[in-house]
Amino acid sequence: MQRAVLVTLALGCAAKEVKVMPAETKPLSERFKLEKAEKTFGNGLRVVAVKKDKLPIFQISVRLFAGSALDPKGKEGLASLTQAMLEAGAGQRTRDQISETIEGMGAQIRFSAGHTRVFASARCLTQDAESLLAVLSDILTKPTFPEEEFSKEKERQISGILSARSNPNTVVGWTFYELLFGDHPIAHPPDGYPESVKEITLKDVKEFYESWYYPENALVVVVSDLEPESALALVEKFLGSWEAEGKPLPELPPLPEVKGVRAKVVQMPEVNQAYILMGHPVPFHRGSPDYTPARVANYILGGSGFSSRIVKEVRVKHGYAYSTYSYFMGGFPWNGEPLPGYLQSGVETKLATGNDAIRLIRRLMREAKEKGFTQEELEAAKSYYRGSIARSAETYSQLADMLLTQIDYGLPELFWIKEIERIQNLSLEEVNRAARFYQPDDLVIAVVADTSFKLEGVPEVEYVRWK
Amino acid sequence: MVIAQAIKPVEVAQKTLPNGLRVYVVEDHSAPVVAVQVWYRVGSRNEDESYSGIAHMLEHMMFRGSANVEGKYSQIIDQMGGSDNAFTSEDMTVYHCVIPSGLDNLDKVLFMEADRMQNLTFEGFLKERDVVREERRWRTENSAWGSAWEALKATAFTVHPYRHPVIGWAEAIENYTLEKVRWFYRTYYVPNNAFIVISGDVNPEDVFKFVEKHFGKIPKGPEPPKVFLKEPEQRGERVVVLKKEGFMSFLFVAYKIPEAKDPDMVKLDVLATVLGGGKSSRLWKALVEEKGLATGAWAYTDEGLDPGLLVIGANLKQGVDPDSALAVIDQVIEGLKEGVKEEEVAKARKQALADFVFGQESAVGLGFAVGDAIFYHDDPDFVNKYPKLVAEVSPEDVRLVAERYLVRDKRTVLKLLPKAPEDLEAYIRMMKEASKKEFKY
Repeated sequence: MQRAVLVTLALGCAAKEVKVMPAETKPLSERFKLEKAEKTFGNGLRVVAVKKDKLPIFQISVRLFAGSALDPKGKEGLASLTQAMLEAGAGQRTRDQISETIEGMGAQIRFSAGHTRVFASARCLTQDAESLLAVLSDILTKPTFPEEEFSKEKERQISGILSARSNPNTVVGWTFYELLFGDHPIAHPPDGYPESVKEITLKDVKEFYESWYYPENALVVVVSDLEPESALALVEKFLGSWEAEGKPLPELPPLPEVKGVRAKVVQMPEVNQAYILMGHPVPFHRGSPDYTPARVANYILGGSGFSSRIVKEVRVKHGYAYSTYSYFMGGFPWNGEPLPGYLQSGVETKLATGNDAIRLIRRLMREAKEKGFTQEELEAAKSYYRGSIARSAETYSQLADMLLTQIDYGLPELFWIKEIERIQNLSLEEVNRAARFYQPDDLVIAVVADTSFKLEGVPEVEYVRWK
Repeated sequence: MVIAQAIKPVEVAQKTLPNGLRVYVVEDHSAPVVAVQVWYRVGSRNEDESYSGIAHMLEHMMFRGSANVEGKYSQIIDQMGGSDNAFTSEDMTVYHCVIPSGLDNLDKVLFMEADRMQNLTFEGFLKERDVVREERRWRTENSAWGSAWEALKATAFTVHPYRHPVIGWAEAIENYTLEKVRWFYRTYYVPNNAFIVISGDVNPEDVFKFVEKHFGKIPKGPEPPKVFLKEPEQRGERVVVLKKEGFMSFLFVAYKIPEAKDPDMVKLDVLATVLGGGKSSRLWKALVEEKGLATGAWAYTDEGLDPGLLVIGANLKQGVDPDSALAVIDQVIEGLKEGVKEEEVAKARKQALADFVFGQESAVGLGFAVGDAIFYHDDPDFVNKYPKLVAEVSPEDVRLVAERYLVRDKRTVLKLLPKAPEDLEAYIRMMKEASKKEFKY
């Protein structure tokens, strides 16, 4: 019966982009494959195209290793500012003309700068694919970095950081990263600090662009209703002649370990809840074999909403919080050698129950680590993952994201199905062994709360006034 | 040259049960998923102020268990590999899930939805009330946006229940009684006040069969009470200033507009796109690019069953006086009344068409688009008609609605300012230092 369900899912999920093979005894992942074409152009740019013909949609995602880990000390925010300046003018186009063209065709284009990667993700109706590619190609390969736009963009970035500082959610995230990663290049917020952004010059931006924006450092993924070969040809027409040579990517140092409990409370007046994030590094990333059983363990502990132990205890039983969870962040992809990820558990609760919530979540982590889970919990998790295949690559952008993850973490083709097959075969012992990755006594705790909040049960707490 | 497929209309099958429950099915077999949505025609507009937020409180209780499901609704969906949630707005409460296709799953979900439509147990009411109180702190009280939105609505509406927040006032939440929540449930959660939208990998005959099996026996309820309060005509500009700890300052300008069904609404949607739909819009160009007063600007129509608001917003840069941004907004609006260009309207047309296609990417998106059309227009086909209606709007139509609705006497202005502390001088010093010194939080 189970097999029958899986077969239906595979057929449907695949729809047109998948060919189904007749042999029924083979595992799901061997029975079909994506309608996909791949090519590395003469300039070193790697492009993957997949066909999905449900709707006339053209989705293109570009990834570059040009994130904030490359920011020089004292100029944190440079990667982000460089990315933002791409849209300020490109080729013969002004900023206005770029947005007129994109919005004029009802297309959408989104840039984001993270700790290690920068993304451009765009979609349009397929009839407009050429116009979209023409703009995108200008933006990526011919930015003009106009002087007058630079000061505006810089000011905008500083203003954005200052606004974000009013939000306890953002502040607790920054504090968490700082506690977890110390001096590591991925520790600082990608947008930087007001004073560091202030130091950035237009020359810095141009140099950053010239160093890290080049075809060999980029990856392009297209998901559209076009034949994969036609999609490749189309991308080649616009990006095949991009000639640029940058610098080789530096190696990133290993992430620091966490021993004992390190805590910091940022006191923000009038914030009538404690915003809490706690966690620790883990010795694996999305592409490591250890990731899968740990993912299942964490599904049971805090990754499955109302089915998770954390939500059942913290929210349903005690009513401490509206939002609470834990998850294993998959890591930081970097030039074929991803850095490992971390565990993060979060809760927002009223000041009076802040300490109770922290104690409770740490206790649940400890119980998972020492006693593991039950067979019933594992079966429920397996059942969830089995069904979730259906939703994993439903939309054009979801499929594009899967392909980017696959390549950046060195995962096998159709990993999103293969991993679920592996989950079906995991034993309770394997999942319980993975739960030993929890470190309830070696973790960092970041809190943002009103000045009246005092963190209990932690030997050393640093209190800082929010400024 | 790219040869593109044609854009196809969305087709909807429908059936009404004798108890008044309506069912709509949108077939889409491109992925093995099904989205099930139960829409109740009740939201915060159906509440009195002293129990404001009770529709939302009831939404929470719906996950606490019904006679034959025992509080495991979400766990059961989870085990199918699905996901579920719900939301409450001013007008509606919607329970939605996405599950892998298969008749067993569909049967189970509809069984559970039918069970909680009639047999809610109200277990753990007090604990859940605490959760909602936390949600209010998190969503509204500690959020500049949340606080500002709440203040804007409470000022723009003086009589109509749109004046109170969907989540409810703090003291209202703290004083909910089980009796009141039960009353609300019995009154509004009846089959004749709900409809179901199912989209994705299903066929209509199966859906109708299962819906009849599970919902057919639920008796029709009395017609729920109508909302009779009407917002009196606004006669003069209202200005509200809100001071909040932090560094944020922004400006909302909200104009009164008619209800969703009014034929002017589609013209107002185009107007909102011309004004503030993206970086090529008039407001963005003026406030962000030319004057450099804001980091972002937007406009949209907050449409509802009853007359709502067209809201313009701008995130101001540090130290910018909201009045200077307001003056720029006024100029932009005056400009609009002088005339709108054909290419601006063409852009809105193209965006409506693209959004129509993008909206069909997932079963869930499709379900919401169709549900919205049913809820506000009593017509599932409105989803197909909308891009055509937008295509018929002319620049002159847009100019005329600007003249008719963007009227100063009928607007509410909200200015959110960083709260000045007791020691104002120290504060100003700090704000100045902020941009040049070590300053991490």
